[in-house]
Amino acid sequence: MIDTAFTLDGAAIAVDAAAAPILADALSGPCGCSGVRVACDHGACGACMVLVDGVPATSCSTLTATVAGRAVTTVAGLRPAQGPPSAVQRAFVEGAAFQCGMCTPGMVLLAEALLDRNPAPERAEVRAWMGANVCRCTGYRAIEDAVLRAAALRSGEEEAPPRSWRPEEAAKVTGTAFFTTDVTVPGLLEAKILRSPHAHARIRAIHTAAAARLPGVVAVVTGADLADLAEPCYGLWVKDQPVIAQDKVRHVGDPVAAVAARDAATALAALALIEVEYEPLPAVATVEEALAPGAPLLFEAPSAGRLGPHGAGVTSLKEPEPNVLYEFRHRMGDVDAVFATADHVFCDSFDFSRMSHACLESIVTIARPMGEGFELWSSNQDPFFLRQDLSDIFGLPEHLIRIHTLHLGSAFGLKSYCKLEPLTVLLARKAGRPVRLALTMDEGFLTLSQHAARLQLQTAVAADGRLLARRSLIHLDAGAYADGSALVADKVGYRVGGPYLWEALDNRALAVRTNTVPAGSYRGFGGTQAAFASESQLDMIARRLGLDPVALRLRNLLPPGVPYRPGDSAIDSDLHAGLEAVAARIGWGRREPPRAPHLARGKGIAIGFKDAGGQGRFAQAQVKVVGDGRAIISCATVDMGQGASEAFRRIVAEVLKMSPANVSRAEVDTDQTAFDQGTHASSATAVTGEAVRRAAEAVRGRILAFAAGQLDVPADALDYRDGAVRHGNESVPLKDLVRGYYGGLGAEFTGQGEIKIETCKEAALFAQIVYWMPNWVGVEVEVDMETGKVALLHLVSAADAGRALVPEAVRGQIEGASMQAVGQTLFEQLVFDGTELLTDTPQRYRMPLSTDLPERFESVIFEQGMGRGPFGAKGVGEAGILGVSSAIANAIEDAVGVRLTALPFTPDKVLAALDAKALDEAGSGPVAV
Amino acid sequence: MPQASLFSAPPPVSPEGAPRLVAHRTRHRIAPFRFLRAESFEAADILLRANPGAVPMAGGLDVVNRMKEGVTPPAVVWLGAIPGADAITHEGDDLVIGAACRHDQLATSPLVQALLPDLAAVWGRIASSRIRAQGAVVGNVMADVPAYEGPALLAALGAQLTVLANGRSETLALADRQEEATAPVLVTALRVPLAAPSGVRRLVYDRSLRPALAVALSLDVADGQVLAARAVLGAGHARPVVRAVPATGRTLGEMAAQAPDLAAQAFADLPDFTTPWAGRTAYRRRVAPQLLSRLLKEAAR
Ligand SMILES: Cc1cc2nc3c(=O)[nH]c(=O)nc-3n(C[C@H](O)[C@H](O)[C@H](O)COP(=O)(O)OP(=O)(O)OC[C@H]3O[C@@H](n4cnc5c(N)ncnc54)[C@H](O)[C@@H]3O)c2cc1C
Ligand code: FES
Ligand code: FES
Repeated sequence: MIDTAFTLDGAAIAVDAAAAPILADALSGPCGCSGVRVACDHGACGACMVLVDGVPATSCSTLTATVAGRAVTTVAGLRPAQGPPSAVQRAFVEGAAFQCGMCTPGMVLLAEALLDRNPAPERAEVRAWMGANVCRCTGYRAIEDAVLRAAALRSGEEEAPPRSWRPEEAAKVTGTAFFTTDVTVPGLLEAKILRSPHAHARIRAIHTAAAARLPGVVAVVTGADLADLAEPCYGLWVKDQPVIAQDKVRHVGDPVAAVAARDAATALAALALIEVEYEPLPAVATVEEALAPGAPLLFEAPSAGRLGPHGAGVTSLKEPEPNVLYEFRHRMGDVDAVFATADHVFCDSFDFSRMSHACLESIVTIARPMGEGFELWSSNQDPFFLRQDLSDIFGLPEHLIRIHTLHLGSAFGLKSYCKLEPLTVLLARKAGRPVRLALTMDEGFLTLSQHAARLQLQTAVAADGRLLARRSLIHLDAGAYADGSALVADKVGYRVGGPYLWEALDNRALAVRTNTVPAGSYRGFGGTQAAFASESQLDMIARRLGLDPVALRLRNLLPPGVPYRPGDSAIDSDLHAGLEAVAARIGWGRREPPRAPHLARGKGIAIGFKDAGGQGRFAQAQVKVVGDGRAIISCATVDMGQGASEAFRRIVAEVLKMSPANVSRAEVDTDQTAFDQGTHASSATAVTGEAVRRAAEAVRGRILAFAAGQLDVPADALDYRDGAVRHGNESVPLKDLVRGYYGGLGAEFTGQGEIKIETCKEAALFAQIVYWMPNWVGVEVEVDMETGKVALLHLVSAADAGRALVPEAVRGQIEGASMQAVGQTLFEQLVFDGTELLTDTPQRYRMPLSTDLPERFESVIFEQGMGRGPFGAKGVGEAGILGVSSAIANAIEDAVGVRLTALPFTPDKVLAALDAKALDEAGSGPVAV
Repeated sequence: MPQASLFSAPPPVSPEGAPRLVAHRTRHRIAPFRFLRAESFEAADILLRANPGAVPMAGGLDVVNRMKEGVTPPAVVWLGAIPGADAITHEGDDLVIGAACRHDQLATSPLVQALLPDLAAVWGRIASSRIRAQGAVVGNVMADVPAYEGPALLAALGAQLTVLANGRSETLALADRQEEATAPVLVTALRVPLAAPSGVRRLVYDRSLRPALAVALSLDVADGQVLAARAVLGAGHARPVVRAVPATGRTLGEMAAQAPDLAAQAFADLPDFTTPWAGRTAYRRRVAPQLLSRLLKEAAR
């Protein structure tokens, strides 16, 4: 084969295009470009983008042979060795225009291409141009600002001196970031999965002999291989998901067989040789079908597992009815009595749609057998929890399982709890060699989703607008397997009352099995569903009673210091102040004239609200101060772009009185790292951060005690600052003290810290909530009454960070989450036809782009200082997704007088609602939409 | 009911009786193929005929995506290296767009901006900046994907394809391409007719309701009077639906005043939509005339 010769980042190179026919593979493989990575593999996201002769090229969809004789530029080529970064790279770093960094090389290059053709673009042009690439994390505002700033830097209009870069920033913006998929070990095999084409079927037989005989195939695994496992199923509380299908498949895409082979192509070829004899069974596509009398059963017998403990007012049941995997009920007060005497009772029903996480880095696991045990690199948010699950599944002691966790290419819940790690381990053990299983984005769509839900709320209200009692019945569509559904049911049921004062509550949430993609953790974790229904209904109630929606909320909001519910922790945000501030920003009470006769404008507000920080959590941390006085943090929070590592660095820097640049973060490795229960529930800053702070305090104490002995002065007369011990005006570098005592070979100081949120049976969820996470949202919309299209004119999304340790990260979290919610509200959803997923590729699954940004988008950070975390901090990671959908629903009603209760609000649905209203007004009676 | 794809070609059919390979769309699935670089269209034609099953390729976005889905062409004939294949020229009464001309070249071409400015402006808004940079105008048309915008816009302008088959060059109207007429052809260029010297040719386009639908309108005007108006509905059918707007002979003012009626007449008999996953039929029938009515008013300004 004749090599394809071209110029790569300024240097001549030649590759065998037959061996690597796709440019992305040629660049990331033989050419060694770490900045070129494939995410969607479909031309849809732009993560793989490079420039060919200065023009954007989608390298996952470009044949290598077409670049012969041309100049290819990757993000690495923008910054010559040791040279200054490009203006775009600099603006991206200084403007925090990335989080996980998966999209960053493509975004940077796209911006370069824009500025090369138009050095001074307007904001609208930037928005339109950058709308070519997907970022799942940032919400685009920061990217847009960075491109505009890069234009100013390039032109010399702005001359501010550059700031120094943190290592992870440099890595992301120059294409040297290292993700799990980049891990390679000798003898590594590639795994692929054969997935069920049936939504529900019995497996009669699986014939794998032909696949096993294919040259290059090393191991084939099916349900028969589960016989030797100590526990063949996993799941949170309800362990119903087999490592690989055993007797049945329960959704399209359910793994049926897996092959490990010398490369991905061979593994795929082997899968095509596997014959599976299915006996198709009737399937249930929806919650209604699943609950119908005589409905086909997904599981004929109870699953393994044990429920977590609950506290006051809660009953929880495992698999209480056919196809119901879990039921949560929270009761407080005498609901019947309050309803009997209430002035008004309002009954409304809401349908919440279902999104995919669609992380640009999908799930990837590398498993390597090690003696009796194994070693794992996995894109997982919960390494220690995963270790425990794997120990249960394989019947191995935990110390024989070692899990490394690298920086993740975003997660949003996709990577929490056990996923395909046991299957990868099974393959690796059978093969006796390391195996890598990297899901494609298409497979990600079939692996986990958010929970669709129907929420029926009955709310009793006094004539003056006082909220009295609420009864709710919530059905979550859990899909085929439990995953984290039981906990999501707890959360949606406990949160559906919102941050208001109630006399009585009776909220039931059921997680129902259907033959669709399993549902599990998703940013917001039940809070999004609860807030959509509750905050929509509050507005409906206000309008029905002729009350102002803001006033209704102000009248009923819980003030700081008052427990959320009896026995639980107190509200730690000033909800009134936040609401008033957001209402003012949105110009609440003022109605702007429409811009055209067929357009109508309206405003809406909402307060999304959830508990955060996890339940009864335990986290440990260790801070080492090395011989030169600098510090290294060890804790198991997984960084997935949320900025946790930087928050920890700043916490330690504050305690040790040094620059955060002198603090680094060790990689997560369960053999070495301090224990943590996992990175979820926005607990990193508030919970693990507190453990880190305590560890820093501890090491500081040890250093001062040591120095006190050396200097012969009391420890409390000393200070530790900038790597030196100070006594009055005297300052002695720690290094010198260490040398003096320990000799030239040096020493280190170690501090441990930990935090346990105590259990408490008076609290409904068996531990008081660590902190409360409000999301005040104000929005102005414009509804096209002829087409039903909704445009966002102004979106204000606010959160309380307690104290914002890394303000730019806080802002990025609010904006990214809010844009996810914008997508969910207006278009983004998994669309099923029965049990068949229609939006099953990245091109068909529409994700928000910069072109979907509201005309004005403001994120507001409050620092109300009441958090339980370090220095009063709270997390904000999920806040922005909570309130947007209901605020938009409320604004639409304000604009055109129709109430939409089913997400997403597509133009079709809006127009149908307008038609129904017109018919109703014409006197044909109310019309169901 | 499995659906055909909104964007890409329908998933490849598995061998008779074999189960569908679920979620196996990946570049690792691409079977070995021969990459053939054509030096001229004539050479491309010969290469295509000499390699049965071979496909012509411009930007490659669709060709590569289809190979990831399991389509296995034995050879790919690349047109991108043919000298001048991406050129845009003015020949007689036509604008001639070469088969390798990329969207972005069309949108930014000074010649197009001078001769048919609306075409350049509209083309700069389709797809996305990255896709426009790589995808070819002809590739967009020949991909036969209902959601792609090229066919509707070009049909509105009455564009023609110049094709080379078995060494013979012929011209065929884009609007006449029928769904079943998918025999392999090699397009060498697209011809877009320009307005008569005394007249003006407008092209206006509303893509705000994609993926449900998009509407294009071309208008030939002379001395303030409509000579011809052609409306096209895209994204709803395998091929765009082209309709004459009964506005001929009216002044622009009259056309604007009667826009709702004219739009309703033009789109009175829309065939059944064949892309049901992208929107409800009732909705599309309802809003298509709305968008057209707005375009009629916009074009009259
Ligand atoms: C993620 C994504 C989003 C997109 N969004 C949009 C959108 O919003 N709007 C839109 O309009 N388009 C969209 N497109 C399509 C895009 O605009 C391209 O035009 C299209 O992908 C084909 O361009 P290409 O040159 O890469 O075609 P190729 O892949 O090279 O070819 C496409 C097809 O045409 C055939 N072909 C190519 N050249 C010839 C020829 N000369 N003669 C005969 N047959 C030929 C090929 O065999 C193939 O079947 C999108 C594409 C992607 C990948
Ligand atoms: S990976 Fe190439 S566009 Fe998404
Ligand atoms: S930073 Fe853009 S995808 Fe994560």
